[in-house]
Amino acid sequence: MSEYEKLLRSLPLDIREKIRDMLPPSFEATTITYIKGERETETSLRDRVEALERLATNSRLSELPKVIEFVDEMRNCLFSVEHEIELKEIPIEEAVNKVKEYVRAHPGCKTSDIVVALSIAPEIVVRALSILEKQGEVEGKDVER
Amino acid sequence: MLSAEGQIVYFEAATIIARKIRLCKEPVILSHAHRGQMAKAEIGRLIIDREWYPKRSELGA
Repeated sequence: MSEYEKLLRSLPLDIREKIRDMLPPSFEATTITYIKGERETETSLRDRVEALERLATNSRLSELPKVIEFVDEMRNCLFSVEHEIELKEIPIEEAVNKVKEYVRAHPGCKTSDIVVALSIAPEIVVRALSILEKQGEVEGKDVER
Repeated sequence: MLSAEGQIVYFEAATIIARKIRLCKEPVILSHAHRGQMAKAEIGRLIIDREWYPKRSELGA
């Protein structure tokens, strides 16, 4: 049984039914993959989480902590999906230009900062930096404490 | 990073991008005055971070 199921089962029946009504039928809080497949319904998912929050504030005091815990889990799940970074594989020439511009605008940036900021696969960023270093466009320094 | 397999790589800063990362709660004693933490990761990449600067000529200096 998933954490989500355990949490859901610990709630009173009437609250549980309301929550089930608000979520997609096979929703599982610990499985982000499901939401990924439901990307087009992200807005409706947000509406459902907000409805859950309203339910939490309207619930009986003794049930409130569990409902809030449930809502938090939903929000975390939604946050993970909305803020996920897709590291794309782009042509090396394009990567070289993007990385060069980024380093120029952010002197002292770290390799991983570039990967995250430009959403480019690390292998491509490292290759682009190596090319730029050989061309004398950028200079890499070891991170100092 | 095939060349680093089975080796210890020392770094000042690094970033892990992995399918799964588990931060171990117990502190690790690295030396008598140096304590730290341990994270285990599966299927991913370890980026040894470096700092990057435009060359001085680029800045016009």
